[in-house]
Amino acid sequence: MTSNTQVLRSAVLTHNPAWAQLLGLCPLMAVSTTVTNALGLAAASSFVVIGSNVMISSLRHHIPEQARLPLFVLIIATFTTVTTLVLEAFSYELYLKIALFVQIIVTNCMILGRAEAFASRQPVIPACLDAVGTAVGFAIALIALGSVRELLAYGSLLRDADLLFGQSAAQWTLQLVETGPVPLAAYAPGAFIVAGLMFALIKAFGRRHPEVKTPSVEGTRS
Amino acid sequence: MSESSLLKVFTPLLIIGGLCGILLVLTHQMTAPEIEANREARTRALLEEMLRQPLPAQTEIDADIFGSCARWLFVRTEATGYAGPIHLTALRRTDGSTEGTEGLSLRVVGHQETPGIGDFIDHTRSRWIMELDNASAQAYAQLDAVSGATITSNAIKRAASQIFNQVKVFCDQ
Repeated sequence: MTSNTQVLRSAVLTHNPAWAQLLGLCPLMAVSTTVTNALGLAAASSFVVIGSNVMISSLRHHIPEQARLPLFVLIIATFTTVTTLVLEAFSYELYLKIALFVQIIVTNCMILGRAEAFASRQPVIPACLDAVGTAVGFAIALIALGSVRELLAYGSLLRDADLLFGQSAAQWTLQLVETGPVPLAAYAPGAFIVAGLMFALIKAFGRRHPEVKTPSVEGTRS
Repeated sequence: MSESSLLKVFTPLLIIGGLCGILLVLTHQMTAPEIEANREARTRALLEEMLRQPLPAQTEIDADIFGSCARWLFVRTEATGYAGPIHLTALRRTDGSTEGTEGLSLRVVGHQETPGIGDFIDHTRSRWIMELDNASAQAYAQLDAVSGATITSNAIKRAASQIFNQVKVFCDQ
């Protein structure tokens, strides 16, 4: 396996920010009430993590050691603000629903963690691949959690897709059951229960199939 | 720290800060017209929902008070709540030709009240303020404070009284 593939695989699977490192759980729990919300936050987080990793890696030889943390936060805050402005301009209804959690991407230690641990020490291509892997891993966790919660809470998938994809997507909603069997899943306690069960399942799968090298929880930093 | 090492730290900070600033300015310039249009459309939708009919196309919706004294007036005001200012948009109907359409309707368009306690005034969270639609000055004055949120409730009562007076002064001029 080439080193670039290893970087990507590690970021998506074995070091997945959500289920392996338990990072960025606040927006993960808060926004994953529906698949559409989850997709919106996944796209916003992806843009910020990829943009900031590439910029930090490109400038890594010019960033003084003493000022690296303020500069990382400045760069991440810039990409977060750009994302917020673009979302407010082109997906206003979705912006009104998830704006708070897009704005706090700047404090997401998943992104600062990748900048400090990887992007600031590696060339641009591996840093970009690491960011793509981290973004994909976070998106998989968000969409999986969003799908399960939306199914349990509302009995549907892709409700309000028009908020993200325009008016033509209003017909995309799949109403699988008339009402959601577990309305609690739409609220914070439901999010913790569903996320806990999902992470436990993934861990159990990893133990049964060690050859797949799926996740091991390495530490709980936020 | 010597002068040269200070320069070594602050020069990259200034240059990278400048690059980030340029990126923000460019994004702002690209998105500002769309954001302005979205905000105006949302404001217009709220006003039309309160009025229950389309607003005339040439209505200047940015003014603090606009409309006609003979039929309806929109007023923008703010009241001091528990955690900061409460921004309100009010519709004062003066056309009593249809029963139940003369009075004051309020919508909170911005507030910092405590979530779960004082945010009942937000029409997207609770129907409390919508149930007062087209209520008279007397009805607002006799409003019972919501338990646990007396300051927030009183702010709404004060705002209603202030708007009735403001409309009277505006139309008497």
